[in-house]
Amino acid sequence: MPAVSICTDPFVLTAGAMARSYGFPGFEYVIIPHPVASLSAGQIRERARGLMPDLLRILGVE
Amino acid sequence: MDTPDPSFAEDAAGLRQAMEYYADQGWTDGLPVVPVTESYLAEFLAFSGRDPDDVLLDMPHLNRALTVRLAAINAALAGCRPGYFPVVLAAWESLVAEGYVGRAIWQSTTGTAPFLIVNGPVRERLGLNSTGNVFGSGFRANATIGRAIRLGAINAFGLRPHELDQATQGTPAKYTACIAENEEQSPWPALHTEFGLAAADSAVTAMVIRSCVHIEARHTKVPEQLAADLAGTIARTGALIHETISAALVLSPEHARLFGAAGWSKADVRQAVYERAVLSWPELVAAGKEAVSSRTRWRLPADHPDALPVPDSGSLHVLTSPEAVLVLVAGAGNAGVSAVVETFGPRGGPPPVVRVGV
Repeated sequence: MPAVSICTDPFVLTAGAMARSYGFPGFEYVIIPHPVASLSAGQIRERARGLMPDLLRILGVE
Repeated sequence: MDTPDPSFAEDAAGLRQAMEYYADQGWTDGLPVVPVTESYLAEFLAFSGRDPDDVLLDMPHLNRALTVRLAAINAALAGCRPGYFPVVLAAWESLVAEGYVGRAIWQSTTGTAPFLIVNGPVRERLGLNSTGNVFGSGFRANATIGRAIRLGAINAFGLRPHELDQATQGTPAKYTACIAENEEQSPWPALHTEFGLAAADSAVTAMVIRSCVHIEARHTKVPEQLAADLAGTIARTGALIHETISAALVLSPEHARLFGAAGWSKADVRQAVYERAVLSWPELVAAGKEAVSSRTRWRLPADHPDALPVPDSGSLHVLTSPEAVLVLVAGAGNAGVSAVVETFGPRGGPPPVVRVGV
């Protein structure tokens, strides 16, 4: 099943290291601003809406 | 002063070159490491009695595993003597038995460290410190056995900061954290004998820890007051990420003797500390930690959409149970100073006490 990983910007270095350890050095993520844990439900929905174009691009949706 | 032997200067230059090479490869914790040759590695493996290819710890999510050979290489890099290797092996086995390291805790933002407690005759045989400055520097066996685990994490699993180790701040215990129990100055049975081993056995108990907080209590002879002082340090809102917590009480001989002289067993200490380690409802509300999440069981405010319903009064026993408190004795018998080690476990079962082989 096609999937896209999402991570917040401070985790980009680790995400890259994980991708390299699996042999996918150029693996692309959707990167969103930090933090997420302290956001309200409304703010989370806003984040989700904001990342959709990037997510669809990585999935290859025209 | 004698003129140094010229060959010594050459050897020292070669040694420095090797140390610089190892540092350039990223094979260190920041401090210099000891160069390891095949013949030196063989001296460590001779103490293991195991196949060098045996896997001690597997992390499939990283595509990496720690073998006996890799554990030995990192013990040598850390500055261990070959004879320390059985303790290092028992430490790895204990960490595996505890379970958190296999679940990626070493990559967590929490920034934990492995904390090792050594019991039994091996303490004296290897010169492990159990008395003054027990959490501090100055003792090769303590310093290098603890460091062997950190270097294994770095080199076998690639858990380097800014890469796969995501610790927000980490802890000084990440360099090394290995103590021996001061069994000789304890009024109680040693830690390993509480969990099925004989006093003549040697053992390692490894625990994932967040912090080590010291308490000053030189003023009292009343066991209830001392229990309250320890409990006050355990029951801080900042320690609560999940619903409840665990702890190891590392009592100085003076504090242990105070409890012992009052006729208190370790179980009595556990119970007394559990009963007093309490946060009131207003204290929890003030920190926004009065509820727990229905999904993660992490603490959050009652008005969070994931919050489970909570009673609007009463207080919280912050410890999971009296059994979630380990009690042991370490340090010098010279003052009323003890430590609360903030551990992840035990959370019901016994701690992972592993016998030292060979």
